[in-house]
Amino acid sequence: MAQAVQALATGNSVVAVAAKIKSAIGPLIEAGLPVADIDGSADMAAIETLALDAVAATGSADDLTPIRRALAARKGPILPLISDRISPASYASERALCIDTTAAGGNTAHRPARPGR
Amino acid sequence: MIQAVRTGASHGMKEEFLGEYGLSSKEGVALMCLAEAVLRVPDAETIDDLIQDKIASHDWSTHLGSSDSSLVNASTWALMLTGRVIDEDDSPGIVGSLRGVVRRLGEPVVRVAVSRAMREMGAQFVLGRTIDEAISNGTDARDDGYTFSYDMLGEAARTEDDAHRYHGAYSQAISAISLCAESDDTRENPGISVKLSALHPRYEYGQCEDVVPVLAGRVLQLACAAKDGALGFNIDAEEQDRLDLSLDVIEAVLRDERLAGWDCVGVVVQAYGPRAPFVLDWLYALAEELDRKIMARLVKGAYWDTEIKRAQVLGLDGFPVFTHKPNTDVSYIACARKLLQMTDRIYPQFAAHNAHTAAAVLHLADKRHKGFEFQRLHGMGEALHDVVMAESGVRCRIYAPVGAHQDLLAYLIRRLLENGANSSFVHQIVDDDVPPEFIARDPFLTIEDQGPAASPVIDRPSAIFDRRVNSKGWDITDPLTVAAIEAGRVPFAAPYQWDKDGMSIPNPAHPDEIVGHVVLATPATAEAAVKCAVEAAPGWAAVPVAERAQIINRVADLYERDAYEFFALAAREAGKIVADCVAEVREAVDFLRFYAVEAAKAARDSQARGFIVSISTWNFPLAIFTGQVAAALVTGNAVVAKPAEQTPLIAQKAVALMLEAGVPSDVIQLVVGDGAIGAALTSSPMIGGVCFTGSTEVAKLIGRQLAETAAPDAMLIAETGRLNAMIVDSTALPEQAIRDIVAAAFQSAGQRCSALRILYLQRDIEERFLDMLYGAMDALKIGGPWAFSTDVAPVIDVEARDSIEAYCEEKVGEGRLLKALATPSNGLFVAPHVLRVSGIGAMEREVFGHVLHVARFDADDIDAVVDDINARGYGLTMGLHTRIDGRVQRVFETADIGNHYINRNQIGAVVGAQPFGGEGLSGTGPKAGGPHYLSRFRKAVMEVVPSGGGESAIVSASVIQSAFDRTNASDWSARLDRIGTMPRALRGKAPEAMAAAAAVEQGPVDLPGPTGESNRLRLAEKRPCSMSRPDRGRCVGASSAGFSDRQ
Repeated sequence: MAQAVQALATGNSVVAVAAKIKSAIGPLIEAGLPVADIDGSADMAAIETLALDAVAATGSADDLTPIRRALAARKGPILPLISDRISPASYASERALCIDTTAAGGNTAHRPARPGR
Repeated sequence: MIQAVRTGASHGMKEEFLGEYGLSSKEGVALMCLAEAVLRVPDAETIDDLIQDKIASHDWSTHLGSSDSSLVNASTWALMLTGRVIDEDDSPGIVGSLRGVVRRLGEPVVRVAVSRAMREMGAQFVLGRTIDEAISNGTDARDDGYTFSYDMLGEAARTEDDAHRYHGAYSQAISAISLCAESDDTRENPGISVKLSALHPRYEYGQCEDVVPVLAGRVLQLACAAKDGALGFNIDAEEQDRLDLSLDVIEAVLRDERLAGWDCVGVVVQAYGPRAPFVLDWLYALAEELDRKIMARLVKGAYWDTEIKRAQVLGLDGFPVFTHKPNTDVSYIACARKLLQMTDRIYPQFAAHNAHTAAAVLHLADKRHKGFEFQRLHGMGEALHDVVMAESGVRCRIYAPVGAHQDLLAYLIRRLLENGANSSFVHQIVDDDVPPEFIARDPFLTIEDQGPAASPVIDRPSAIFDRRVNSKGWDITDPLTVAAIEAGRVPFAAPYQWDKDGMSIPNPAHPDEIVGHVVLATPATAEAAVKCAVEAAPGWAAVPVAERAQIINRVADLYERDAYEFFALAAREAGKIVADCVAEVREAVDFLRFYAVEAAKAARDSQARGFIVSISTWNFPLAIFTGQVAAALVTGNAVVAKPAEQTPLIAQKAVALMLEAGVPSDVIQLVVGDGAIGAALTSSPMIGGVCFTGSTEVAKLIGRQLAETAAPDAMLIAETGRLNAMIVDSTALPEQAIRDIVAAAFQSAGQRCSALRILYLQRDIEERFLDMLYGAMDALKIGGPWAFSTDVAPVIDVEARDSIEAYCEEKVGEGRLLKALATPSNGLFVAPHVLRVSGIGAMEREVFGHVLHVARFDADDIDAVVDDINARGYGLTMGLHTRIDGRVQRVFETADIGNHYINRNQIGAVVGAQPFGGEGLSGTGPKAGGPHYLSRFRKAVMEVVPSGGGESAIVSASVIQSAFDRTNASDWSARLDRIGTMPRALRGKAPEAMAAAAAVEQGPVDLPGPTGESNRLRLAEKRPCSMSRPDRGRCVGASSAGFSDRQ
């Protein structure tokens, strides 16, 4: 639940696979958010082969190790296993933008906007 | 006198300004941006896009959270047009009318109309498109008693061809102007101004040995022609880092026998530089020594913003110019007084548009009118100087730009936009609310009242980051700094060696030279290091975070203390040129101080991971090594660090300083060895995580290793391969784009993660850009990294050289060669290459060196280019040169790239300002030097996690896939109200997760940094790992997070 909320918050769509998931995810589905729930546990072949961009899970080492191995066996980009319950930035791609504002004749006389000031 | 000037001036200038630019400020900026670019765009399609962008729509800007152009920090123009202009907002204005015209008439008509309007605007700034036209357009002013100094300026030369072309243009102009030089007294005759940067493509201090004789020769030719034509000959002043060099050239010119007895060589002195009076003393002494007379044009200075930005970017001790405008006014008057006492040797020319300055000069000059003149810029200060001339009888010369509008307008508008904010006189004079007494106030009185001499608005270079000291910089265009670096490196120059035992480390530039020795680890010593770190980790984690941060800050200070030794190491061991050595140490110091500041935040509600293995590369042997290790240390982890085999010595020095600063010796251990040693380190079951920079293949191997042997929550941060692109459209300014392409592709011999590999040029401009690129490459200096003049040094080792050469040979065999440079035969040099490719899809792999691929695209295909880049799967850096704001926005939102750079090069990310790291095949994140990096080195405090237990049905891939297919994600990632919507749906559930998600700034967030640069960071949904996915179309911009949660 906590992980689904954070994944949604950064704009991802979420399929939650877990036992007795309905009660927790229900309100989000009802609100029309891009989230689905499936009762059960995910096939490791799905973790290894599906077109997924992030995988999050909590559980004991015994629960997590197979998921981690399935992720490591994937082709393409490395997908880390998001195992912390609270880790909101893990569900996002960070994009930095640097513009030279003097290229077309900007001026530099003014202090740039500062966070926290 | 002051009163008369003031009254006359304020009326005349106001009329002039309002008559010419009766626009609201925002529209004014849009029009100026349009004018800056439109005349150079060859293709109709892009002209239409540009016009659309600047005139028809500003809607895009709401996405970036800004109401003004993101390309221009445009407060200048707003300032210049304050006051009553804003009252006219209700009237449609030019832009408003143009919008109507766009709707009514359609694009082709508008295109022609706009181009014509821009040419009209050009006529306001440029006296004539040719020297003959300028002479004829100046007739009226000459009748009014003005003389002229013609100025053929444009962009600086990037190539020898450019330099020859400008030299030819100056020569022709001198011949033409000579025809109207009628007086025996040269001071009555017109003159010409030359810009040294137009006469040599490498007019910079690092190249001084070559530049001074060549440039002096070229200037002398022109000066002799001017002498023959009885013209004044003026050498313009440019940026302050070229002042010293320019004086060398001027001295060489003045000393030449051919100019003996001629007293009309002029020099420009900029009063905004504190060195101005000393320059005057130097000029006077030189004239005295040569028994000559010279001319000096005193100006306030035209590159103020450039100087401020440069000093902040380079982290210099101070600024080379005054930061308060009144200080410059006072400096001007002081220099004027000095000049007026030098009239036996120097003929002063006072260029000023400020009434008080003009009055002050007249006051100081007393009755000696014949000994000096005033100057003003064409189109500025007319009313003021009409009054001055009428009342004082002092002659006045108009400084008049001459040239084709498309060449000149861009340059002039940039200068005007740049300096407008500081020409307080010019903007205040159009504002009726500012009383005349205030406009013409005495700058001496202002200074008495203002308190400290430095402006509080301008952050000193050391203070541009909020909570930490900026790293110290070294200006390698400053002769004193250069001398200090040279002296500081002496003890570490060859044949000095770091350590005598173990494997020898060669110098890439001189393979026979041994830089030092290093003892290699064995599997047994690696294992012992791991054991030691595991034992040390709890103790280090228990040290209070503030204390750890303090130690890390101390490391930064020690790095700066021993900077010269690091410079020597980076040059001799890693083959880094001096500029890169400086950048290397600065980045390392920035990492240390940034992470020290961030550590407390990351430590909250979390614990250290234990012991971390750090594996880093040779291309940033100090910066990346230090960044990874410092992040792990400051978050309370013990570290075993494996530097690259090629560069262990600099890492050894770094670790020695960490120990000196107080990091316990079991908490940071260095292990030098090959991949097998790396594998031995990462296979420890006790490992807390790995921080890795290197190839994608090795990163995947480490990932598999961790999955097999480590705890399932062990961290893996990997920075891996990439294919970085730059897109240049037809609105780009060639001189800027070429400068940035050359730096991005060839600096550091292309051995940067961020380096440009594939350049996309719009078809319409391709030929001209490539010619200029080849010319700029020819101007590169290839040589050993120790010399300050070297631009391109050897590659790191034999393997790298052979691999790059084999690749180039193969591509040349396929007929793909566009350009290659010659290289020295000794040392590990590889020729910089430019190769033709059809697109990024045709590149089979990354070649880690200065091999630039060039592809072309059609004006309407820019989206397809971005799609191709996304489809390749990498995502580290991308450059874009364009004047179209909407395009910046669109590319930033659609290109799956970690670091976007607009109208600049794409290398040299600054810690904290440009958090750096890739996505997709390029890396896992989080970004180094960014706000989320450190928390990855921590983990949650132990939670009671229910075990899976119980039987539950296995959910297959197809079921999950169809669940994704059912979710309607089409607009979710684009919605700005996600954080607002979710709590309502949750009705108070998952409060902790919701609060955490809301606390993370989705952005775009403005990051601190130097002025003149906009740095932003935003969080996007996870990048799609596969472009061929059928549902990408359905979930545009969205992606999916698979999820298994038992709570």
